Amino acid sequence: MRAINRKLFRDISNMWGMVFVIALMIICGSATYITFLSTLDSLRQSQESYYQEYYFSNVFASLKRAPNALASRVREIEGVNRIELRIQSGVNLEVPGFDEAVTGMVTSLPDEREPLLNRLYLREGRMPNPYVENEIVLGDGFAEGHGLSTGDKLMAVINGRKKELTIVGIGLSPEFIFQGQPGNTSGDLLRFGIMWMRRSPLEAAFDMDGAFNNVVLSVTRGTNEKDVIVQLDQILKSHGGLGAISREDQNSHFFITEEFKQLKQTATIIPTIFILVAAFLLNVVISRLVRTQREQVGILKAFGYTNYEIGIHYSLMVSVIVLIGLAGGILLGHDLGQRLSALYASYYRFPFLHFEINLWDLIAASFICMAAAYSGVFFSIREAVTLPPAEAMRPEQPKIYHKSILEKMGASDLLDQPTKMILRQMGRQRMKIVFGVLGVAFAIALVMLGRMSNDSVKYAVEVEFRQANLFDLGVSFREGISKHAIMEIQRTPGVYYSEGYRSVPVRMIAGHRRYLTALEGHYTNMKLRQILDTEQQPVEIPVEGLLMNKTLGEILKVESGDTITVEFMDGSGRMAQIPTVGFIHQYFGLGCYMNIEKLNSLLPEKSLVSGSYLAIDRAYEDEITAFLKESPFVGEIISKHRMIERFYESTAQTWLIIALFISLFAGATAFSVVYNNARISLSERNRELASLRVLGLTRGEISYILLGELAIVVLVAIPIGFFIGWGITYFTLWSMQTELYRIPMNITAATYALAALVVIVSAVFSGWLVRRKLNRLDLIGVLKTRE
Amino acid sequence: MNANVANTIAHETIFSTRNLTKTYKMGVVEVQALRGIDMEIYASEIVVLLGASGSGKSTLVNILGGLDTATAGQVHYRKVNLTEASESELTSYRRLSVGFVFQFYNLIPSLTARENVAIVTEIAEHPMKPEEALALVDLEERMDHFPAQLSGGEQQRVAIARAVAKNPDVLLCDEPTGALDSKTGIIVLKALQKVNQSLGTATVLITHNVVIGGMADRIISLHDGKIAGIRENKVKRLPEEMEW
Ligand SMILES: Nc1ncnc2c1ncn2[C@@H]1O[C@H](COP(=O)(O)OP(=O)(O)OP(=O)(O)O)[C@@H](O)[C@H]1O
Ligand SMILES: [Mg+2]
Repeated sequence: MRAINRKLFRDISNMWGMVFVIALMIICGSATYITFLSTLDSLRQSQESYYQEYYFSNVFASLKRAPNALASRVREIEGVNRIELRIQSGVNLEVPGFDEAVTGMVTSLPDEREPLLNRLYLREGRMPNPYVENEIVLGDGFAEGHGLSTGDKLMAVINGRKKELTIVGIGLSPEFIFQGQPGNTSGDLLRFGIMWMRRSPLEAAFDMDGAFNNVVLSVTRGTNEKDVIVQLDQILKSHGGLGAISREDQNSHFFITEEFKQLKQTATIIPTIFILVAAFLLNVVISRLVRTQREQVGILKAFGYTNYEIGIHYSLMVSVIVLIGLAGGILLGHDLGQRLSALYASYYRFPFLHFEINLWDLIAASFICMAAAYSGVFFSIREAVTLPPAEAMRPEQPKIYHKSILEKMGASDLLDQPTKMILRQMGRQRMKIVFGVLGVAFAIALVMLGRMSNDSVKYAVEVEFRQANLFDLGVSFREGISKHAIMEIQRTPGVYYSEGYRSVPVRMIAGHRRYLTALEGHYTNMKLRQILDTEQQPVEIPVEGLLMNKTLGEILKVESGDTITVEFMDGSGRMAQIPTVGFIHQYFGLGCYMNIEKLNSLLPEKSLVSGSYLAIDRAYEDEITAFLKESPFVGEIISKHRMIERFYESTAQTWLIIALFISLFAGATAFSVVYNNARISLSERNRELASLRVLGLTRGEISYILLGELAIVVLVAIPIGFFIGWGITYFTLWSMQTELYRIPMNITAATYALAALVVIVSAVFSGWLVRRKLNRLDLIGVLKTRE
Repeated sequence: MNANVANTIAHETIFSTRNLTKTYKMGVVEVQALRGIDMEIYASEIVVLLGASGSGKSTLVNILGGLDTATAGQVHYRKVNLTEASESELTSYRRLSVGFVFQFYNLIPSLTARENVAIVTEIAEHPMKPEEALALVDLEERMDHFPAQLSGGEQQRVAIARAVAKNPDVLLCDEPTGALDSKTGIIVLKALQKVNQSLGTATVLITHNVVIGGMADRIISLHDGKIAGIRENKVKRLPEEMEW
């Protein structure tokens, strides 16, 4: 091996501490980048191939009831490819040993063939036998959650009749990647079960002989789905059509799309910020590393090494470090990516989720790291080689120092010599100090970014769910029922108070802008829920007109006072003109609210309620739930407290893991910066410090000179880091907004404390490591040879 | 042994300088390190540069070696005008023709003695083997030691081996004994003289020490950036005969 390459490896192994921390930064930066982006890609690819291979439909429509013969008319719509007529309905389920309310959805399978659309992927077992009653294929998420498998039995209330069902297969379909109740924002694998049955037993159960209540279509390439929907709505109108929708509005697809949108923001912004910060720091430490070798550059030049050869030498050195870092980053990214996609796969059910590192993400990560490192090398090498070698070869000239500002202000007498040394040193190397401060500040910002989801989403959940909702239980009815039923519920033991509401699916139309959402009718003196205006103050439901979610208002470009067209999608086909009287504030969802009596007056069936809020004695929660479940009218029962708990268990847990992981990375980064700063100062100044030791200063005193600077850097960096962290968090949240989620900015005191703690701990740790090095400072060695 | 080999060879000029001037600017202050140097250096001779501290010795040698550039005047190395040479011409000049020895040795700490020599031989055109060069300074035994494991005198001999291993035309030594005691200094000087005799390398040697002038063919004295005198040595002494 050539001597110069030997120098390279010896240098690397002599500086392994610094090499390690630089590599660590690259590992953190590239691993985050690869983990998030590759997870997103893997999910997307899985979704795409799943949709294709299992024929996910393009258009979905529910209706009251229509004869199968109607299919021929649907087929005539231009652009329609495949059609499947189905019976689909909500059911109530009972799982042995699970007390909470469980609802589900059953979908028919053709008796003697596979469905043409939304085919099933069987994880285990078989399809139900044709014409056999009571055999089902159960959704895999629900089965997994309850530990059910083929051969197990399940009780179901189907159209008011109790039945025992046998699970013959466990499966899933592209229609239910997200398995949650329609309208519920979080998927729930335990309380919502998907199942499939052959058509004939369902025909019998729902009295649907030769009829269907749900139709799905696929369209040929290039067809405008909107046109198909308009025509389909026409055909289904007289059969109680509830409005056809495209994939965009299909529950599962909508949620995955939203989630992917959000993941994409997270997966782009956070790792990009991370890798850019890492790249910046990498650049700084590499340039300083090369600068410490200035004299060696001088020697090599004196012997006639060309600038090019010297450049190659240091680039190779850096390449080795970067490659070590990237290799680590890829390994870690692969492992974390697998875990993260597994975490997503537990909410989003895919038959296969193959995690793969995306080649382009890998190339991008490598490119960013390499570019940062090489530009660091390039500029510092250029600086080193433009000096005449004589400069570097001359016995060290005393550098030029100035008195520090503090001294100039007259504090000179108050400061001891070592403190003056610290201040003058800092004054001489202002750029170094600036970069050091920025490096630590960015590490602080990264910790804050890691805690962002946690802080802000928790805050939103607390405000939206806990403070705005004063009820304990929310009950929705299968169909609208008479408002007198509310009185009955109120008489149930343990129920303090009950309040009905009506929720109707609507299409909001303002000019050419339209949006599908729900219009909720509430009593004006509603007690169990609070609607907050844009200033977050409670508002009353107006007697006339509706209150609209602010974001929806922006989507529809509606101003306060504008009259909006409401098309009721409940099968009645009614339309109404309603004035918008105000806007409200919500972090999740896009609801509209009005007076219930006013709403009822617009609809054919008056004085109905579709759900009710209950304030209860929580000691009786289980009994009340059990009692309500018995009623055939009751659909979903939401326990607010359990929902919040569940939210923290699932989603918040994911965020906690991500926050922990990012904080660890940020900590590692802070450590790298601080350690590098200290190590490089040490090697730049070891002659000076050794000389001081020779003059009789103690180890403590020289540590103070070196580490005092470090302490000042960290202390100055903390407030700056808070500021940068605030800015980055604000930017990230702003860019992560979707129609469904608008997450408020909230940085808790705990986050500030954690961020400061992370860098202080890493600073103390690296200070300790450097102190150990100082203690072992080889006085004779340092003074004898020149580095 | 013929101590006067160098003198018998024709006076082929290696370096010639005309009105060589070097000014350092430090803010508003100007330091005139060299104020018009005119001199020649001939093939195979040993020249000792004498002068008080700050008289401009290192500056002169650095310019001769292509480590630094002059502010005004001319330097010729053989036919080449160094004052007009480009950066890459200077590099290849240093790479092929000049060997340096510094007061503080300037070895690369992460390389062993042998490797410190090899780093130069690997880029030279007609080098010796690193082992050969180290044998020339009697360091065969310590070839695999790192600089930190060698005494100052030994480090300086490694530096000499490193400087001569490329078979340079000229050897420039800036106070090679400055950091050494007299006994060790003499060993180092012996090594330099041996190289000069066996290879015929022209050698420029900076020192404060008048005694060392005894081993030179010519002694050039500098004073305050100017040449104060040039003296030819009628009788050259061997390093071991010198004492200080
Ligand atoms: N980089 C520099 N910047 C400013 N002035 C310099 C620089 N290098 C040398 N000088 C000045 O130039 C003059 C000549 O310096 P030089 O190093 O050549 O002296 P020298 O004869 O080698 O001295 P010594 O025997 O102490 O090594 C001195 O006055 C010195 O202060
Ligand atoms: Mg000098």
